[in-house]
Amino acid sequence: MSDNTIELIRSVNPLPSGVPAPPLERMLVRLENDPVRPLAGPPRSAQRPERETRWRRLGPAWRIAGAIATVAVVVAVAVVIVAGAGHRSPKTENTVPPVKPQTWEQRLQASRRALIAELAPLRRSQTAAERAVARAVNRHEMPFEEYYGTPDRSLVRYATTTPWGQRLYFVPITPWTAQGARAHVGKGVHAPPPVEEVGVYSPHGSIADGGGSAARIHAGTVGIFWGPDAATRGLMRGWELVPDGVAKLDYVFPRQPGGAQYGYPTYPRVGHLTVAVHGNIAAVQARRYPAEAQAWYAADGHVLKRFPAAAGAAKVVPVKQPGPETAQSRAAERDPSTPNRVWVTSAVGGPTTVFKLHFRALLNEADYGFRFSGTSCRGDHGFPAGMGRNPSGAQLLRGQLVTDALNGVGHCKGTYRIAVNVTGLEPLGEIRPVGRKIAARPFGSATFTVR
Amino acid sequence: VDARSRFEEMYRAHADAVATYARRRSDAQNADEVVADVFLVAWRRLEDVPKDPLPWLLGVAWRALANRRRTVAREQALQGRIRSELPDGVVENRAGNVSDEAVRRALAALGERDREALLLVAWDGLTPAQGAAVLGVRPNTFSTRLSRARRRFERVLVTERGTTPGTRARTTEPSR
Repeated sequence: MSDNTIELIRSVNPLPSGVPAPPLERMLVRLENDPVRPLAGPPRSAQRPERETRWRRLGPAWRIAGAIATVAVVVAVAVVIVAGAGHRSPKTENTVPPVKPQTWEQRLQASRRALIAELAPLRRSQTAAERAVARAVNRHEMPFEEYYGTPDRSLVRYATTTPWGQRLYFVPITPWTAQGARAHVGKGVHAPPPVEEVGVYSPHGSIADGGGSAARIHAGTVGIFWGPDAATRGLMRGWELVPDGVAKLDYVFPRQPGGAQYGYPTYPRVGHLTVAVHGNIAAVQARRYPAEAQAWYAADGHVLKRFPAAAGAAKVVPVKQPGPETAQSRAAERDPSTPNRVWVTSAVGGPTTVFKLHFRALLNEADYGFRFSGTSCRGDHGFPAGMGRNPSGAQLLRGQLVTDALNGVGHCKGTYRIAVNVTGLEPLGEIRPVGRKIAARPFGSATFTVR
Repeated sequence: VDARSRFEEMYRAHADAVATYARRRSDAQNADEVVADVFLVAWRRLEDVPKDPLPWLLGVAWRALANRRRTVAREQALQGRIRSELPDGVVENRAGNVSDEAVRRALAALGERDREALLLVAWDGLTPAQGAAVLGVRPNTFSTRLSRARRRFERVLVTERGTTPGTRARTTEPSR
């Protein structure tokens, strides 16, 4: 069947050379959890010929009698099902296989097997060095203290060494049961889901992490990036966990990594970097940041997965600029307690009044704190979420009017005095790569009265 | 040979072909899921898998892909379907009188079964007998459908581009 038409259609074949299938081990893990025919179950093929032979041995009269009996049983069962199931449609009963609900332990073991199926290092035997690391892993040490679980020491494996010399180990974490979580954390804590996650660990205080569950690794959402800062010598560093079969990653560096935020650079062009995968980890180190994975490649070069998020890497949007420098703002750069006007609306109100604090920012991306005094209802209050940022998450820049609702105020009568100070300076792109905490004296205060 | 060994042997022998079949018609993630679905069905119905399992497996894959398409993009227009199913990275404009785009448009204008018949032969290299097994029809029916599909394809191509097959220059391989 070869003619011009077939040749023409063949020429638009997107994959003339073919692609490899996922590894058999992954398929077998799935079959182990198959509710219809688990891998360990007896093969049906061994039973069927025996039944057929038995039927053939019977005489015709017995066969007819048997058929009638079978029909009668089927009808009886059908009547019972219809009566019991009420409105459920027989089609659904026939097409959907009964799924046996799994216990907490079964679900946990399935997630553990899935993790082993995704990460090749977990499938080899543990070396003496890995056993030593496994013994040294301390649950109360970073990064493990963030997990609600216990290290699965038998699965600790060396993964890779990053280009900057950091040795990385996989440390799967077995989640606590509800009882275990209560025992470790206290009453009222929610039990973690029965999903074994892998943590990434670097011994000797190098910390690490950026791990996750098998499902998240498969989806390409497990990794960590940090920097640039003094410790990384001005470089962006990070890694991403990838499933078996991924040999390299394409990273894309957007032209405008900070989006419309002030202080981040806008590069003349999109950057690209291809990173080889070792031990299911793609470690990346670059001068530009942040990187976004664009594609996963197999060893033979074909694309395993593309990430559409990287499609907007060339996009450039106008950046909001801070207001003009003033003598006052320059003074505030030197001394954050430089006096600055603070006022509250309303000046007088009742218990249901929403009082709002206002001031005009003198600094870019500062954190603020405020302290109440003047009544018996006093205390420290910070900005709600994201200190020093608007509730929308936008940057606070010089010259911008900062407004924040003083929630919780008004429970008791009296005249309040609120004093505002700068408590820290957030990282600001490449202009201020490292955030720092400061404890400046208040730059202003205001009073308001609750009647 | 026990069921597990038979299944493993079948997976090793044909999983790549099924993956390629699915990948040619879907994105990578979808293709992986289709492969898993196909072999899950094969495992559950191991006794029904014929001695030459590839056409049977591709038949399951074809239905699995069709199910996914119906679920994911019921409203998707036929015109855009083929294009969206083709993986990224395929070279769009090659030299020649008939562009890839025109060929894809002509394929997209065909009915699903006609198009599949052409692709099974042109892309997957199946014989009419094997293609018939994939689509669950008799070999004669498949041959008739293939012939009709080819005529329709040529007609659409001529209408669309004012060209006839065979006037196209030799193409290059995709850039991946």
